[in-house]
Amino acid sequence: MKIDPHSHVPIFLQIVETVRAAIAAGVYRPGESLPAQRTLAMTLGVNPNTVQKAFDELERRELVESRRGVGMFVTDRGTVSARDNTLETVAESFRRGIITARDANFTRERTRDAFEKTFRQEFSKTREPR
Amino acid sequence: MTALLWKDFRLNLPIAVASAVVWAIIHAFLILTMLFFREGGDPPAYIWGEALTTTNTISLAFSQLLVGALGANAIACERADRSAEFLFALPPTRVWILMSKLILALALALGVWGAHLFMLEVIVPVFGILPATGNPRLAGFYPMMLASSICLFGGSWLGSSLLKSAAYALLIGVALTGAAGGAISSIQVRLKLADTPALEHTYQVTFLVLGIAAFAAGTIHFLRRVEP
Amino acid sequence: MTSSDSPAIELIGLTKIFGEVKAVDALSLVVPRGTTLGLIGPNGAGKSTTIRTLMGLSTVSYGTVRVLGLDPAVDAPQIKSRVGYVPETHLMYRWMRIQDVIWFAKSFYPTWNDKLCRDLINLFGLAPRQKIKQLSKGTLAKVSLLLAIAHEPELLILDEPMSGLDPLAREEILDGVLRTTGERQCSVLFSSHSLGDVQRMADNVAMLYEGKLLLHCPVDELLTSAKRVRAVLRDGCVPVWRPPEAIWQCVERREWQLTLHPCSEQLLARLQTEFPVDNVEVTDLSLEDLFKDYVKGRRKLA
Repeated sequence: MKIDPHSHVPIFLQIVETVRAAIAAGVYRPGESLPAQRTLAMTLGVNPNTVQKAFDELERRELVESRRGVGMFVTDRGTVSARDNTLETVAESFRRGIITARDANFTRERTRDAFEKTFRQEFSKTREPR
Repeated sequence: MTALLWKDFRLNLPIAVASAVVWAIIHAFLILTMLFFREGGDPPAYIWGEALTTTNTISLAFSQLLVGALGANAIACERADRSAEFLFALPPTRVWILMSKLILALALALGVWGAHLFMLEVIVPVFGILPATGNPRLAGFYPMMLASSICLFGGSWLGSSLLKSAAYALLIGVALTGAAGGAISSIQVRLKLADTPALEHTYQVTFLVLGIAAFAAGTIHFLRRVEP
Repeated sequence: MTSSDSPAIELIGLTKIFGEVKAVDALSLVVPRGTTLGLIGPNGAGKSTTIRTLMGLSTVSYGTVRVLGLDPAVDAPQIKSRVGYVPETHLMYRWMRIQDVIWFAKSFYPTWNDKLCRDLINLFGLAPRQKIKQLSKGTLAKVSLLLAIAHEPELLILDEPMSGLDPLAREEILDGVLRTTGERQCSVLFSSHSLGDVQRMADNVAMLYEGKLLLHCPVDELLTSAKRVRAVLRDGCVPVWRPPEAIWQCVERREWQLTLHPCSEQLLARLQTEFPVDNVEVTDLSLEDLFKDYVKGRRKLA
């Protein structure tokens, strides 16, 4: 897990996204615990309050729950929720791409062509998606 | 406090060592000279006594500069290399810091005087002549040396408190003592006064008062100053 | 108010004048207990001067300074025994060895933790018998930090702790500081030019410019609510728009760029109504971009 201290994205959100992706990918399964707040803070080299903020946000999104004195645990619905989020994030990226094309006065056909070209480029070099 | 005393001891160590070495060299030189010029047989004991008295009285007179140097070094040395900024960020109060410096400076000054007094009062009589206190040629020597040392120390201490350079601080001490002594001396010449005990007392009291006043001023300035 | 209820640091109208110049101008801010404040600003903005007043190393011309509820002009020794201070230039006695400096400093702190000290010596890889004058900048910084945190302070004050350090030394210093904040409710104030460090370590950020406070808010709020807006102007329009939220703006050909903090839907709506613009684009900014925009914006005003 790494964070980018120069990004425009607040660190706590970066942590939230990284944990969410890890839960969606099955790295953390329902019932398993996340690293302790202080440990994670030390590993990432960030303020422990920031990690706490990330945990609070993950809890708000019902991906994890807090068990007092023990730590943060992935909820039963956690993996499903995490993946739903993934879908939403991906859709949002596509949406932004389409808006950009439209602003540049692309036609529907040209937009789709551009999308398929990029799609082929990407998937010829990476592994199969889940 | 122990830590402060140790620190100030280490800061003044070069002065202490240099003065001990000089004192030893002077005496070594004296002994060698006496042993070297023995053509007419061993010199009588009292010659040794005389030589030691002369050597140590001159040495004591010059060691005023040493006492001045101790005062000059006390505060300025830490400003020269900015270690005062490190010290002032630590918890001890100004009073503690100053007391440690004063104790060390006085202890070393007493050491210098102690060594000389030992020679002049204890060793010299062994060689059959009067110790300096009983010696009519040296009447008033100790009080005068003490008074002028105090003036030198006080002036240098004030300089140390005001400046960053121990050398310039010592200069202030020397200037103060020299100016005071010189002023009285000029007045004596102008008014054609004889060398009376009253005149000697005037010197001594003037030196004492100036020295203590300068010391007090330097101390107050240090205690009230906020920047290191 | 007992000592532990008071904020870690409280400044009310702090002003420091050097001759003709106001190095610090009516600075007011609060650092609550248990939080970390990153103090940023161009060189000469007044960061070091402010820090020196906190430690009682500089007098105050006007205003109030309270550190852990105490006044540095009155209770400096007490403050110094409860605060860990790391100055920008490390000025320990050069003739001492590391172990001597530790023994020396340790004697002044009743709360000194020997075990923590030993752990830090190992963590930082220090050789106790080395003399201070032989140490590299990075090692000096580590010794300085050790002296500041080994007595378990309630507040850590660091003046440009990473300046001039190689990347590994920076990580070790960061590590050391985070250990302290993690283990106890330690408050931290640090000044830095490295905005990456501010983003990692600070809960809140305060920016000084020519002695004045330009902004003081949580880092996350700054990142989320400050936006760069790009708009294309229709011909013949020269915008003059000075809402307080416009930190910086510039027009080049027909492109109008502004930095708005805090940006809001209403503000963007106002922009589009009051000016003839097309293609309004809103993007996020990094801390470094925001810093530059704030400074550029102030310079334009001057």
